[in-house]
Amino acid sequence: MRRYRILAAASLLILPALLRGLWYYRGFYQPAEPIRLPSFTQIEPPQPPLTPEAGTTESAGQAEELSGKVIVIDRAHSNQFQLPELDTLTQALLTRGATLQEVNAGDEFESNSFGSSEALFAFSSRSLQSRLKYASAYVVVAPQSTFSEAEIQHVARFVSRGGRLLVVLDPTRGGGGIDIFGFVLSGSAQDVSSVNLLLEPHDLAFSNDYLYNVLQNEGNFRNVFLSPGEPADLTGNLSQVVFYAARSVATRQGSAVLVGDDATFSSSTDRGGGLAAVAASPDGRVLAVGDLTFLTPPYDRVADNSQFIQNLAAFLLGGDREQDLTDLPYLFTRPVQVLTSAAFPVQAETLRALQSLQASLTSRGLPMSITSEPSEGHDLLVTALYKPSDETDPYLASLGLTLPDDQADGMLEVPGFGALDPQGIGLLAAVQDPERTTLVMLAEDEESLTQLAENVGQGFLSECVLQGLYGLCKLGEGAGFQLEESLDFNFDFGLEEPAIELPPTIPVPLTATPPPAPLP
Amino acid sequence: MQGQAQPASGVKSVLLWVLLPLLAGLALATRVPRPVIGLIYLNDSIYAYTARDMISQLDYARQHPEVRGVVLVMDSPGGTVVDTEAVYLELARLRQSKPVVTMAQGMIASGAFYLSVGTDYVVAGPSAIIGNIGVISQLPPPPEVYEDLASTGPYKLFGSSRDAQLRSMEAIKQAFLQAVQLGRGERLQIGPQRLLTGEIWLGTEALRMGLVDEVGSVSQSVERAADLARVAHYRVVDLRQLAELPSAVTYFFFYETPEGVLTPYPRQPGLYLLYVPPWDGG
Repeated sequence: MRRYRILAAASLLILPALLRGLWYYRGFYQPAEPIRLPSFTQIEPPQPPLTPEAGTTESAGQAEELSGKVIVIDRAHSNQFQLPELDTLTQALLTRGATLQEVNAGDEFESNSFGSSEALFAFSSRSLQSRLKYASAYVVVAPQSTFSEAEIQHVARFVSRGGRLLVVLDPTRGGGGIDIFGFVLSGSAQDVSSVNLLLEPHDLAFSNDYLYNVLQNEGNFRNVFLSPGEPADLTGNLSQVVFYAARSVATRQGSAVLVGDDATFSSSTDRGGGLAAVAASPDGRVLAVGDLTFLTPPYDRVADNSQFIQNLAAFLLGGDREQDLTDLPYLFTRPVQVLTSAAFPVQAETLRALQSLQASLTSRGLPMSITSEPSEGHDLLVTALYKPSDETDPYLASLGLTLPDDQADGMLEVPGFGALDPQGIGLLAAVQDPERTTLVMLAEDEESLTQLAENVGQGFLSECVLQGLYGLCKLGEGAGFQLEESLDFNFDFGLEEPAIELPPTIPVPLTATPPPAPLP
Repeated sequence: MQGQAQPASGVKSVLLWVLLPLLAGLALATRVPRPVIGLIYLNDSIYAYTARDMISQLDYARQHPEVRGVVLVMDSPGGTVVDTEAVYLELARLRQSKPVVTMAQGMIASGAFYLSVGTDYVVAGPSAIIGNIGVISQLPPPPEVYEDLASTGPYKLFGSSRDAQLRSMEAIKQAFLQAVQLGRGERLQIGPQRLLTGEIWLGTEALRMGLVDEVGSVSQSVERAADLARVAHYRVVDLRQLAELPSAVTYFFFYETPEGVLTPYPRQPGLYLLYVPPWDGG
C-alpha cells in the first residue's frame, strides 16, 4: 500500500512537469547532417604560372641583324598610358636595333634637327603623316580621342605599303567610370569608338566589353588564359598567354591570334566560345591587342607573356615597308650619294637646295655625299637635266624615259604619263631594288633643277602629280611655296598639305627602364 | 476516538501523498521553460558593431536552453569579410545544438547571403534580393616611396601589393563558394559558373536555383524554426532584449560625401563581401 502511495506521489510530482514538457516540446533537435564548413586553412591564394627562368624566351633579335627601323608610338590621342608601361616591349624593340619615336598632340611645335624650336604650320595629323613616311610601325595604345579622317587615311595608306600597325586597348583604361570608394574609377571606355574607325579598313573591331572566366582564371575572373591561334609568326613558342582584363576583338577574314576557351565569356553577352583577345588583319599587317596590363611587370613574366611580347616586337619590325615618292624626303634608308654628271656638274645653287634634304637625312643618321662613282651600301640621288649623259643615262634607261633630245618634237616621254612638254616640269623617279634606292631628279635647266631639289628636300610635293614611282612637278615662277598661284597643277590627291615641313627631331630612343646593373 | 482519528489521518495522507507531490510537481513544472524562438535582426551592413551584436545574441541563444531556435531576419547588403566570417562561424557553433533559420526580408546580398548559407533553412520574400556572391576591394596603390613618409618595408604602408591583394580576394571568394556549396548541398540547382558571376536574384528566382528553401514571411520562418527545433506553444522574442543589448549603435559604415550624401560604399578601403548598388553620385 505504501508502495502505491509513493508511486502515486512520484507521479504527481513529475506529471505537471511532464505535461508541460509535452505541451512545449515535441522532441529533440537533431542537426540534419554534420555541419560542414569551408576548409579555410586549406584555401590558398592562387599563384600565377610564372615564366620559366630567363633563357627560355626566344628573342628573335639576338639572331637577327639589328633592324634600324623606326617605331612611332602614338601620344596624340589622349592615350591613357605611361611610356614606362611599355618598357618590356620597347626593350624588346631596342634590343633589335629599333628606334622609337613618339608623336604628340603638340607636335606642330616639334624641334628641328638643329635643336631650335619652331612653330610650324602643321597639325598633329600632319606630324603623324610625316613620321609615317619613314616609320616601319605605328603603335597606338589606349587612345581616348578620335582619329580624324585624314589620320585614318594616312594610317591605311601606311599599312597598305607594308607598314605595321599595333593597336592596344585595355578595358581598364577608359574615360568613363564609376564613383566608388571615394574615387572615380575608370571603367567603360571611349577607346573602342576611338580606334574602331582606324581599324575598320583592316577588318578588325574591338568590342566594348571585357573577357572573363569565373571558373579557370589567373587569380581573378577578369584574368583570362588564352591559347594561341594563328598566324604562326605571332604565336610561335606560345602555349598559354594570360591577359589581365582584356577586350575582345572581332575579325571576319583575319586571324584570331590569342583565343579564350569556351568558359571565357564576353561581358557584353555573357557568352563565350572562341573569343579572341588578339586578332590580326587578313594581310597580317595590323594587330589588335585587347590588353595592356600583360606588358607590365609582374604580369609580363606570367605564362608565355614574355614570349608573346618578343613576338610582338618581331611583328612590329617584320614589315617590308615599300617606299615611294610620297615618302620624300624620307625615301632613303641608307647613306645617300648624290651622283653628278660630268657634263652637268652639280651647281652651287643646287647644293644649297639640297641642304634641306641633307638636314632631314642627317636627322635620321644618314649622311649625304657627292660622288661620281656610286658605291655599295648607299642610296643614290641622281640629278640631271633632260639631256643625254654617260653617267646618268644608265639610270634613265632603266626607267623607260625618253628625253626631249631624243624626240623629234622635243617632248619628254614618261611611262604612264605619255608625252609631255618638258618646259616648267620637273621629273622625279624612284627606283628601288634590294641594294639601293635611287631617286632621279630631272629638270629642264639648272634653275628648275634647283627648285626641284628644294622642294624634294623639304618634302614639298603638293605641286607634283605622283604616280607610282614617277612624279611630275610644276616648276618655275608661281610654283614652289607660292601655293595660291598654282593653277595648272591644282590636283587634289590628298597626298600633301600646303605646309612647310621641317625634318623630325633626331630620333632618340624613348625612355625605357634599363636592366638593373649588378652591384659592385 | 478511532473514528475521529481516521479522517484526520486520511486528510494527512492526502496532503502528504497527493497534494504535496502535486504542488511540488507544479512547482517543478515551472522549471520547465517555455521555449523561445529568438529573433536576431540585421537591418544594416555587417561590420564590427553589428557583428558584435549578432555574436552576443547568438552566444545568448547558445547558452540559454529555453531558446530553442533562432531566426535571422536580415535586410543587409553584406559587409566586411572578417566580420561576416566571424558571425558565420558563430552560427555554425550554434547550429550544433539549435536550428537557425534565415528570413531574407529585403536583401541578403554578398556577406548576408554568406550568413544565410550557414543556416538550416532560408525563407525569402518573393522580391527579396538574393546572391551577389563575391568579394570587392580597392586595390592598394602601386609601390612608391615618398620623401616625407618613411616606412620599414615596401608593403608597410599599404599592406600588400595589388597583385597579392587580388589573389587574397580570390582565396576569400573560394571560401565563399565552398560555404555556399556545403551549406546548400543538394538543394543547390546551379553551378559555380553561375554562382560566381556575382549576380543578384529575386527571391522567387533564388528558390528555383536552390539558394533559398521557401518564399514566405517572417512568421513562416519562425514556424519553420520551431518545427526544426520540435517545439510548440513557444514565445517569439527579440534576442536583443533577452541579451539586454543596448539599442543598435549607429556607426558610419558607409562613406558620406562632404555634401552630406550617404553613398552605398564603405568609408574605409578593405576587403568586403558587400553589394554596392548602382549609385548616381547623389
